[in-house]
Amino acid sequence: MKTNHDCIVTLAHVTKYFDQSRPVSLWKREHTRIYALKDVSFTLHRGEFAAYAGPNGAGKSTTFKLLAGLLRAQQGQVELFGADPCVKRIEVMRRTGVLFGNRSELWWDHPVRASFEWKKAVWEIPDDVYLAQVRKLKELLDLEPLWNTFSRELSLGQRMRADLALTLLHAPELVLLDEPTLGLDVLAKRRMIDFLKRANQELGVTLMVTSHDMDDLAEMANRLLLINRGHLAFDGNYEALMHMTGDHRLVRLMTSAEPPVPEGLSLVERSGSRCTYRYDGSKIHTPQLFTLLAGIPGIRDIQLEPENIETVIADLYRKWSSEGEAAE
Amino acid sequence: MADKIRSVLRLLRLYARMDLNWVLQDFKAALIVICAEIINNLTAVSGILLLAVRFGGAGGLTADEILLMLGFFELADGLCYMLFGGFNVLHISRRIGRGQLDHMLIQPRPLPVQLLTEGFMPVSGSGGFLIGILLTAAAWIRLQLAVTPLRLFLLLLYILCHILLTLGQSFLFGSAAFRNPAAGEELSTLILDLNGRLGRFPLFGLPRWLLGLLCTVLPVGLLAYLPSLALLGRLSGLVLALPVCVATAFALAAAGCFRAGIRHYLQYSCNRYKGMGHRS
Repeated sequence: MKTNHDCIVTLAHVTKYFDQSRPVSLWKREHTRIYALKDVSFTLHRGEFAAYAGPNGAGKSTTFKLLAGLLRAQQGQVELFGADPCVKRIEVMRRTGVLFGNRSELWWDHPVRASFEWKKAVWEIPDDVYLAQVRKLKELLDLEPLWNTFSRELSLGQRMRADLALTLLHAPELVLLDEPTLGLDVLAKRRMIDFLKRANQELGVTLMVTSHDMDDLAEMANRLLLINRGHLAFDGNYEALMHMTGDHRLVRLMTSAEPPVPEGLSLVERSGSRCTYRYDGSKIHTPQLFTLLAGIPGIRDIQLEPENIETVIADLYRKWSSEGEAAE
Repeated sequence: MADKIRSVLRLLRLYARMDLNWVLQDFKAALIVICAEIINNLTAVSGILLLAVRFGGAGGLTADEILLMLGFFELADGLCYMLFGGFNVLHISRRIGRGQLDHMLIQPRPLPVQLLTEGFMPVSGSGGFLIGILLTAAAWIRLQLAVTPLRLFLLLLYILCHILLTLGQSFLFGSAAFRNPAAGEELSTLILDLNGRLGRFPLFGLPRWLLGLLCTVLPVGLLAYLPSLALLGRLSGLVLALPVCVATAFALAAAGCFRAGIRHYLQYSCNRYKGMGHRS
């Protein structure tokens, strides 16, 4: 297996479709072809932390399954470490960790420890690597209190932590995480995000994560891949995304009287004397904004903040959706 | 090759240890499971055995011969369950239909090796096997059968055939779950239930065409009836090889269908996922 270059994941002009057939009458069936991915290309280099996002049905899970060797593309090339994951499944899986958020790899009726011992045997992890990884993961994910607990007795957050540690046990170079924060409470999510960042920075693990929580992704990843209707719609960092969507910012005002809407600003929300406006930071600079706000009487407080990434992405999805409908 | 065998043995040891740990960790629950399995197996054989005792035999066999047939069935089926009964390896359509093959495909082990080892439960799954040994030994003594090398060879050969037939049918019909996961989820269970119900009956006296059907296409007659006749020395010639031929045919067909199913799985995956029964 080729191991040269820093390129860990390569998708080159990948197209994946599913042929479906449904009965329309007793004798006739209607055949349709659903495209999950259309000519998708990207590469992932060693040490990168990429977020992979998109609306429901955009093709995220299909991409992950292609990368994990669970699906085969009809066209194009999928390579992990320079090899096709379907053909060189065993070699690729020794270097890759895969975790789907709603699926557990733990042995339900055994203590957490037993799942780790099982993985050591199945992955043939050498003793020294196993001991070092267990020590590191126990510390990073605070697993010691869970070590002898039955997997069936863990809370969702604890289970995710144990599952994540199990995914990293064989010291994979690449980790694919599908919705790792799914269903976690605020604290558990916080710990998960912190851990993933540390795994990327301290252990040098290359990560690719999907989530619907854009704030989480924005905090974790330094690269964002957005997919829409099977097409790679965006590939870059968050600054580039902001540049593409417009540098939307919010200004919140608290006034003694109901304020007017200044020119160039759009009203987002009004609740009594509190108002929230949106403006494009690339068109209206801060001094200019203050000049506009100076015309509003009775201002008691002003707050400026960038638009929430969730809102930016939601607007983007909405735009794509209306463009898609128009195209159809 | 030697490495592969060593690797399989290591995995079998791992699953045996995990099974033992499961029993020791929750001994009461494990004991209940084992006892329930023993009772279930005894119940399954008792009906036909009592009928045979009451009427001085059944289906052309004496009560003791019926006991041998039932003992053989429990022995072979118990061994099959002990080797492959864990975590739905034997009920393979459940794994396929529930989308759980993904868990296997992300392991750095060949699929056949995983299928060969993951279901091994020598402690918690040994109830049927133990009952089988006891019943076969009791029948053997009562019938005063001589322990000859040929008879022992036939016993082992037919146990292997029974296992191949059971696995073969389960994988052959269970492979339909690749194409229709929801509808096919319990296909293996249906086949195994059918074998369990019909495989314990003596088939003597049935019309020839039906007997032929039950010894080839739906080979319940090869699970215990025909092997027990062979062990009793009532069969000779080519018919002795029938279980081997049919078992081989089923095993090859199952391997082909399962491989085709895996190819289909890699094209379409599974449109559903249920965690039920996965590693629990």
